[in-house]
Amino acid sequence: MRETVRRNILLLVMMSFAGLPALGQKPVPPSPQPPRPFRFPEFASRTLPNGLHVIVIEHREQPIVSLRLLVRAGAEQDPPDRPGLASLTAALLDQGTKTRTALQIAETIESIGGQISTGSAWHYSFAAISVLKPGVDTAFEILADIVRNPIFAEEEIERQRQQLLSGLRVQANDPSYLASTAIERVIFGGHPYGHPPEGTLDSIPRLTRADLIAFHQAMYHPNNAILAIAGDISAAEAFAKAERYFGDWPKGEVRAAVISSPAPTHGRKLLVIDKPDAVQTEIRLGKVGIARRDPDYFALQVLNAILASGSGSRLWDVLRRERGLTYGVSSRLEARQQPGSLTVSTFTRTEKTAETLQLVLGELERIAREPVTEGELQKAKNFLAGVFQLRLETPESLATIVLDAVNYGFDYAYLNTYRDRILSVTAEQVQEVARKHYRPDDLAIVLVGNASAFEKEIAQLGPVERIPYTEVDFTRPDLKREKPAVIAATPEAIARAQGILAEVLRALGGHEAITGIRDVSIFGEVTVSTPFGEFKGEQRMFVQWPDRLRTEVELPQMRLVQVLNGDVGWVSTPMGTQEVPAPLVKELRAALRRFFFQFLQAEGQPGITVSYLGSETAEGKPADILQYQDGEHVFKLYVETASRLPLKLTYQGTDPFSGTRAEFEELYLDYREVAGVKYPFRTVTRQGGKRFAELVVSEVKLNAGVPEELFKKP
Amino acid sequence: MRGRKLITMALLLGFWTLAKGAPQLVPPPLSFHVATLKNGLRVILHEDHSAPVINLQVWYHVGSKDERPGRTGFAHLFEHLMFKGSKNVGPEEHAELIKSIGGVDNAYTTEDVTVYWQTFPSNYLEMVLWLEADRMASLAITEENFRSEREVVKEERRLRIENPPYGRVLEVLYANAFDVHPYKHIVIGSMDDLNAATVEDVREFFQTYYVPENATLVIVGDFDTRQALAWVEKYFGHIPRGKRPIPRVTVKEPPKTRERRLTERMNVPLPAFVAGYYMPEDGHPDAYPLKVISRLLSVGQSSRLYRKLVYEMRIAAGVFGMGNFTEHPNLFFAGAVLNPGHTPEEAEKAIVEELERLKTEPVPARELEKAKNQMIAEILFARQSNQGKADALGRAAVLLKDPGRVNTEVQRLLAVTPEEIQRVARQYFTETNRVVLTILPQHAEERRATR
Repeated sequence: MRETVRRNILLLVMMSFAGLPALGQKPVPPSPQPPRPFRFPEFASRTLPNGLHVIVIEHREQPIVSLRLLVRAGAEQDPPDRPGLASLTAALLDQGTKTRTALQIAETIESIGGQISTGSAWHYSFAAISVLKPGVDTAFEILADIVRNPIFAEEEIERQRQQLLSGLRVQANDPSYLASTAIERVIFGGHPYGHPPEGTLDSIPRLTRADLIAFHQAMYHPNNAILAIAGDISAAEAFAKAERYFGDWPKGEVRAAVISSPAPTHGRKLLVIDKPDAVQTEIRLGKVGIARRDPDYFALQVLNAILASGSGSRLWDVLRRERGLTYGVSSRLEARQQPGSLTVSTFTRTEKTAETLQLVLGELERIAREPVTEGELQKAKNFLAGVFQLRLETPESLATIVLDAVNYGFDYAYLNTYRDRILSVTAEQVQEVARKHYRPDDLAIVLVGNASAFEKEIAQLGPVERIPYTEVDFTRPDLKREKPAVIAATPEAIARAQGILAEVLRALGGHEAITGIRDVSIFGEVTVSTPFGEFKGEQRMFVQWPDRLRTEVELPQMRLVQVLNGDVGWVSTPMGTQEVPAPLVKELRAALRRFFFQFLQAEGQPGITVSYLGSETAEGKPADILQYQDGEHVFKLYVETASRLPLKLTYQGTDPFSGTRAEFEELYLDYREVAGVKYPFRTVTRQGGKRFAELVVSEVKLNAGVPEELFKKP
Repeated sequence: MRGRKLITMALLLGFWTLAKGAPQLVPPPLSFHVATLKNGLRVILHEDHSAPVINLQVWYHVGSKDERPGRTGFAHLFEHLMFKGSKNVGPEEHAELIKSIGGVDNAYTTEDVTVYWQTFPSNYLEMVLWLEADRMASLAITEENFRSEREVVKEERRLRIENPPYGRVLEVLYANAFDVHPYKHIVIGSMDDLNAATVEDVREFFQTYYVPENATLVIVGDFDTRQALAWVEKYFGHIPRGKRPIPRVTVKEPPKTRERRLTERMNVPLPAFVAGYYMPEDGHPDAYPLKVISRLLSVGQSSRLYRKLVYEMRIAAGVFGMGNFTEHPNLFFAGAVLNPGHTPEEAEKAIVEELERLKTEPVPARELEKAKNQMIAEILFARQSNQGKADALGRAAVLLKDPGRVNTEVQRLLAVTPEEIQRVARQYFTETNRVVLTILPQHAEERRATR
């Protein structure tokens, strides 16, 4: 009976439709054909006697074979003061082995149309080679060689360092990079996950060959690695080649640090990185999320897709579709061995900063408050399941998925049921993980942009901390470049400094001789050795008391002149002569104060306080430290205790290339006598601990007169 | 299949060919069907059942060079508007539907074309055809969503051009390289022109360029050609042709008689040098040796510019030497971003030396073979995905005017000789035939002071 009834209703419905005019009815898209059943592509797996785990994925559509070797030696293993070590080590793998130079490796692979790449992630480093089928033996041979026998030649380290630093200098000016890097620091602080895995402008110069070799020896062992072979090759052939090229790689002891779980995010932290020339504000919100094996993984993926995954996701609709506030918004779940980060990223024009941020916070609140609708749940799940399937199309991305799963301890059954796990997430589970993981009160927020334009509006969201982008140091957990600690000068410290300075003057040739100096001319050869290669040039420097300074540098390609004359300054380069802007004049004046005979005459000068800070070993010698304070300009002079000669001077200056603040040291060497006064004939300038410039003096003239016109702007 | 021209391309190229005595792997030919509907819509299909996935693209033969004066950036703005709804599809519903079936979609605009693409599970082909046909047949744009989408595009301009270091380099270079040809403005256009655009412009642009005879539909993946063509006819067949002929850019940039040089200060941390040499359009006989030159100069660590400027001299952080191959004559770029302490003059000298070497010394056989092997590999790597194949088919059909060139291009590249390379180097890499841009950093302090 029920059957009949139902049929009747159906008939009724159909009839009523038939009676309606077709107009006004919106046609609906055609329904799908039945799908092909899903099955994750099969792969074969075997462990060699030396512990190397080998995975083979046959994929015969194109005549290509891809090899990818993964070593559990990622950025999480970087020592706290050495961000970038895993990354630089990986970058050096294909830059020379015991039997092949960097160019030979590149030439060999590129000649057969192959592609080679090395790099690192949080949990692993990798080396990968893809070749056309005829080149498969070459690929195995080179891959085994670069992973097992990298030579880490000094010259190649310098080359890679140079590339890296140039890249980081560009990125130090890129608001998107600044925001993405800063949010991780704010979320993780001093935990290993907080540092930039690629290293920082401050850490990269510090990494040494010994660091790289030690890292390689501690980590790169077959029993700490997985090799995936994917493409146009049979499993039998692939295993045979793995055995042939990697079988004699000896097992080793892996010395890896244990990574602890990061502290959960509590409270709201709001950091503004001020970049006054920005036209857009980069916005990041984030917190500590979950580990890769956390049972919440699938529900959080779905939650993320509902929040921000293009059209029809909440943040996209609110920010882009409805208001045109942004071009893009994304939500990212970084699940690692330990809980990684959960972040939302977007950007907007400066004047819409507060509005956009408020809208994002509102959506985070809403998703924890109300259950998601069945429609958005279904769409998000289908999207994730579908995208997973699309990623299986090429052997490389298939191999990446398999390696990632195996690396986190998952097996074939897990991958084969991955789609089903996504598809079985319920609305309740989504709301539960939203409540658990997205409390807007426990959130780190980073904004990079023109702070003065939006600072007032965001003040209501919580206490705001502001750092100029030039002062950001990603090496430090608090992101703030260490300010030279200014120690309040006590009368005792000032008196003691006076005593030491008097002894210094005596050691250098006497109080009268030094304080009587009114002009100095110095001639010599300067070598500027950035990590980017060296160049030499003639240098001439003229100082006239009280406030005139002229420096000329003659390089093979050009002549540079820099002049300070009281309150004005100018520079002359092959591009022409330019007036120096006011803030730079201040820097030039500071440089003049740090000039050898000027700081020696500091005593009794108004505004300058010299105080004794203490004694310590510097450059391998016992030394007394004097702090010079002149307004906001502070530097330290190290005086060798035994000889009473100035040993070095340390100060903060501007990195001429990136415009960011950096630590500089000036070492005084090779004291010689000129007209009864001792002067260091060799000066080495170090930046971030690395030699930056060296001046070898050939002639010094004291009180010989300096022509007036040298300080006049041409 | 009535009234349709159905051609089956069966190419007889050998899988393995012998080149210079060494075995060389050549991409197997891509077989495909071409059909043209009565209304002029061209359809190109390639079946590949290795995964239950399809990539479908609609190529409209209109790009930024077709924009009228005062409306730069319009073709790209229009691309955004194609997601804002049509007669039977709500605003952004197209993208939402693709997403909800587990697919991905997007679009891009170049100087010459606007391409809409999606990759999706193959059982949804009929639905995707319905969606694409609906937005080819109709556009439902309101003043409100036009204005809000224009703000999105302006954000995109800020993101790509105004905010990042080096973002403005190409804009400045092109503005100075071309006087009359519309390639003088970049695809994203200017803020002023974006602000000036109106809904009326949108309608006119749609009626002029978004007509079936100006479109090419490319379908690659897991489907049955016969069935697919039946659906194409069903959903696209009724869309009428445009009412007037499609306007085409005919203006030609006059040859240059002297070098152009300019220096710009930008908010960049490192100086850079870029030279743009005028060169012919894609598909021109000289384009092939120029593509080989691109490889020789800057692809891979063993390429000439990389090796010299980055590796040996260590004066550059990065180098480039490649052509922007488009439908009309464009530029071949050679340039470098300098390392700290080095000048654009040093880069210019080293780069010009390398370009001169191409003129005076024949490229050694081994090096030429390396470049060719790389190009073959690149084609094969791209063909691993349906999208890669569809890109290649679309490009051959629309930009090279013949889908068959998807298979003959590689032969043409492999035939390039050392003599040809010398000849084109002599012809194009000359002082009078170039525009030179030197980029100098504004000092950080100056940047702050001048705000």
